[in-house]
Amino acid sequence: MSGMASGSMIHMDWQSTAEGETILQNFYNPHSSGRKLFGLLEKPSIPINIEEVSYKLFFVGKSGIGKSLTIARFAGINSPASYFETAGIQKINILWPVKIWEKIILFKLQCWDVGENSLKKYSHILPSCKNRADGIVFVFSFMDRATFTELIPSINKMTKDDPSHPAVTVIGTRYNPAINMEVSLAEARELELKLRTPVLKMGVVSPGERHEVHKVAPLLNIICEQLWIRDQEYLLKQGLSS
Amino acid sequence: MVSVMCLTTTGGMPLFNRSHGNIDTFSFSSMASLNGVHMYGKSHNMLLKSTATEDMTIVWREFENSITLIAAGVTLDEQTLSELSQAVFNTLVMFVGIEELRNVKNVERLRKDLRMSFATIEKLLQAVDLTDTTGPNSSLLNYTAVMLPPDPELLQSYVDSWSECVASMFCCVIIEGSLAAASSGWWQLDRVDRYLLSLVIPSSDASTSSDVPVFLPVKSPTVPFRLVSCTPMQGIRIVALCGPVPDLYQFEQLAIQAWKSVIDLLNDCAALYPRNIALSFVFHESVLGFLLIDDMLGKMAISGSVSGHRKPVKCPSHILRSFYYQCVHDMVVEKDETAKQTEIYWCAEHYKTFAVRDQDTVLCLLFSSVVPTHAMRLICKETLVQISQDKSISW
Repeated sequence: MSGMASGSMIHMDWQSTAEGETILQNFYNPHSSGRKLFGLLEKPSIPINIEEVSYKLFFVGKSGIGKSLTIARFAGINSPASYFETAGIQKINILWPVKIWEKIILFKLQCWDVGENSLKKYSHILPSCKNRADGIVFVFSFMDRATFTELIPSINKMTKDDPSHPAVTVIGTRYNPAINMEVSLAEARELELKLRTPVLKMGVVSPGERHEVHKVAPLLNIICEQLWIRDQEYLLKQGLSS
Repeated sequence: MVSVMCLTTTGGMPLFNRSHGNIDTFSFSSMASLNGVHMYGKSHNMLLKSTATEDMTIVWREFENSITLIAAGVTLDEQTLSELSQAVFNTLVMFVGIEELRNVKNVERLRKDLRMSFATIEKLLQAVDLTDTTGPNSSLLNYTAVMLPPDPELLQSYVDSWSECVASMFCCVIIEGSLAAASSGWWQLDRVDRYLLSLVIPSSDASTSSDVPVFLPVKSPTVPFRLVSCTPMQGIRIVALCGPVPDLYQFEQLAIQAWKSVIDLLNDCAALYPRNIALSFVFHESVLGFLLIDDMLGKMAISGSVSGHRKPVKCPSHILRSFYYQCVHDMVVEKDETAKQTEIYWCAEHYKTFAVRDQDTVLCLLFSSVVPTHAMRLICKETLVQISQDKSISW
């Protein structure tokens, strides 16, 4: 968990600049309005000198909370019109270009998504997801108070005894400040201070939404920055101890 | 438009209700009545199998004395709805295992567990729904979709070495939703298992890789396997049915190693979509599309664009599917060999179709309406001979 303020390293609105838009052009899917999903051996056609860094993120949260939908929105792909519980592990690699200081870096976020049912029934799934995870993303719903109160115990359970100290990210789904939400903004703020990490807010998708990429860009940038800071702190520690 | 309801047989407790197309989901009270009339029959030693209204057929099926399925559909016959119910039940076995369905201890828990199967059930409903002409729907119930790529032996050799590399007898490669090649073990699986596995494998634009626990309804209904797959390039899915190892991370590494050098070959296959048959295979100029079925192995190939440029009919694969469900299906399922038809045709305003059967193989061709009706039979028969003899494709 970082003590640094978000937005201090990563250019939060770089994707909307001319340079960012030009790079992002190579990420869109010509057959849909969204972005492309890249296979394990594929890369967008971007300058080869752009460095790539890869991270594993494990998404945790109650069944039906919107984990799969959140990942699909981050990836910019179409998600099924109706809700289906995720069967087993579904992993989506999201390629996301980010500008850190003066350098463009391609983040490969490997998002591990598991249906709650498979997780409970099969013992091999949790270790497979947690092993070597760089970050754990805890998902709750602004419209379901119980999922919010379970956050802290869940975070403690997942990160305790984990020698790799994964970065902790919290995302609240069904965020809609226009209505009376079960979890208030003040409570979310309190949690942010306690965890020293921002609570990312995911609104409800309106169909046919344009500029979706610019809606999720700030969230993805924050996640990338957290992972980047975690690496820097790790390197710093290594440097001090050697 | 089709709908399936699932209830416990003993208690009549509803487990789920899924529908596809423009159909009103059955209300709780109509579900209860439909189940009630079936139960009433049972208490009088009568088995209610099906009924029909003006535009709808309803079929009741009971499984393992524990699960009742009620299927209702528009434009579908009893046979198809009965097959659909069987396929839905097999899907439930695939996700939760037979034991949990035989002995329902906790209805609430079973209801939750069954939710994992909904995405696959959706695909089954889509496969029989003829009223859905919106999407590129080209699936047939109970048949694994395959494609006929060029150089099948070369691709086969790569699948065989992949099978060794990942230490699984059951491997295949899916390209744009159709099976392009599979290990011999994959073909030795029961056709029911093979078909459902092909539905559970996610499409390459839905996830990068996946690891799904599955029971095999015929081969292994009590012990689960892991259905692991990944996408090296968009449109291509590498699959293996695994035991405890390798884990998903190792699986990806193995797949990258094994397929890195073969990407060009796979991309060539992907470029065949939606023709789905090697370019070297030339059809008669009047042919617009084809549907090829092997009833023994439970596989089928379909294409609505063999001619490439001309598109005189709107939705070729939709016509072929309708032709199959309304005519050819009876020809295939007829058990009595002497009563089995071998040929059947349709003539419509804008197109004609002809189907010919040779033992377990059925070829349906879609023609433009200009073709003389008497010529279709010869073209169809010759094309079937050509397909079975052509060495550059393998059927």
